[in-house]
Amino acid sequence: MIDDLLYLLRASLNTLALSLISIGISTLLGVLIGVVCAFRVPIIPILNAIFVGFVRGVPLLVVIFAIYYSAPAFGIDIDPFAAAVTGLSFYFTFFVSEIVRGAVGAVPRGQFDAAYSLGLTFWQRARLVILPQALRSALPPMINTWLILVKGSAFASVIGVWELTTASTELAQRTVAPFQVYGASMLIYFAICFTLACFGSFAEKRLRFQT
Amino acid sequence: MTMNSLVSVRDIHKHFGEHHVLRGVNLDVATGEVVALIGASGSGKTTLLRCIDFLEEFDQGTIEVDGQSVGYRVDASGVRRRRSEKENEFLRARMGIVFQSFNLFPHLSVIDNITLGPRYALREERASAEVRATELLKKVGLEGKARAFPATLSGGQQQRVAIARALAMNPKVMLFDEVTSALDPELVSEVLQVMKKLAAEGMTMIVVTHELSFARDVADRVVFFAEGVIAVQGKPSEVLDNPEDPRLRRFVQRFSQRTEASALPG
Repeated sequence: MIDDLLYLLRASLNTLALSLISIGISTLLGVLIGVVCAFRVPIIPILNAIFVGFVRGVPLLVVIFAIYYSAPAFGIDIDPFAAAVTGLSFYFTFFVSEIVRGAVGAVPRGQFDAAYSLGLTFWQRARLVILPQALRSALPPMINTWLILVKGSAFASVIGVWELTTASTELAQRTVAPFQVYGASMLIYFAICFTLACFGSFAEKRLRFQT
Repeated sequence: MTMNSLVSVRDIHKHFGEHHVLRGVNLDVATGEVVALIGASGSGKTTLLRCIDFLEEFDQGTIEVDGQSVGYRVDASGVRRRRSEKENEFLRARMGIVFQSFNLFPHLSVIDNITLGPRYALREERASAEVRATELLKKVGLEGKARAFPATLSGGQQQRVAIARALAMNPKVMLFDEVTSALDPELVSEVLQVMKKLAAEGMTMIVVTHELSFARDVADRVVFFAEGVIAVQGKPSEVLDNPEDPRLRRFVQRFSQRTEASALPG
């Protein structure tokens, strides 16, 4: 009983690793792409729009399958964990980029004027004036996206990554107690997401403009 | 171009799509001069101000500030080219502009708002920038508010911080874009007082305003805009007392009532 629970918890460490790595990559890339798009640089916004349309219209599960099973055809030897990280990171990068693009667009025009009028350079304007404001308003939808990513990591089980959902299925078959096993599994997912959400609201409060 | 003109605007044209906002504006402002730009909404006065700071591109004509042409230069073959971003950033850093809607940075304290430009655009040390910022805060009557955040200040206080922020760049010229229009009537005078003090110290100022009494008391020259050109200009009394131009007469009648309501003290 205790052993079974420990088994699930060990597996959830893999879920956590998978999620956190993918959150890190997709947030970093997404912010970068979103910022570049918002500042009217050629070509990249078009590519972004194509990929945004793509991930909006295609299931995550299919993306993960596609990456894992078609990589060998391109001569790439990819292990399941790497395939899952690639799939999740790619998929959520374009949700983040869209959030950031919108958030930069929502910074009032006057802030750009003021930053310009002080003679700041492009990167100074972005770093010192626009992003600190944009990222504040981007944080709540960004955390939402992270939570969806954590839950989406369950799809990694279908390509054989050993993580919480894989372990739950194994255990449910072994113990013939699916209700208890999947119940425990749900609690663990919930705990991970709840912690992330708490961290999010803490960060949001810390970053709120002082009034 | 007159010898001592600090700002020199020559035949500026500007379109917003189909709309021809500036239709050949010429304006010279001498060092230390205070020029009030008045006129109905949409007459192009704000656009002109934004062109001078090159926050707005313009289609034709030249603007020179302290001998440097703003935004564009004409190359050896006579073709008008946009200056590099770097050159325009440098030019903007030498002018101060204050906006109708303050545009303070909400995520920064008052002192950080004021020192941002000096520290990053002028590469000043933080300590010396803060010393100067503190002096400027005193000048605009807000000593003790250095660590406050913009959202905790009244509109009049925010606008005075915005003036201090612009002054911190040691500008050659200060541009004011309807800086009291967004303020509650009782907060207007504290901002006008600061501007009056600046004018008395010899700052070159171009002031877009609807405060006719301010224009009358403080400006050396009043410039009336109508339909994208300068229709009338001259000494305040010449322009504002018994105007001949019917558009100006209507404008003065409409705005004098308002100005009396918020009469300028001091």
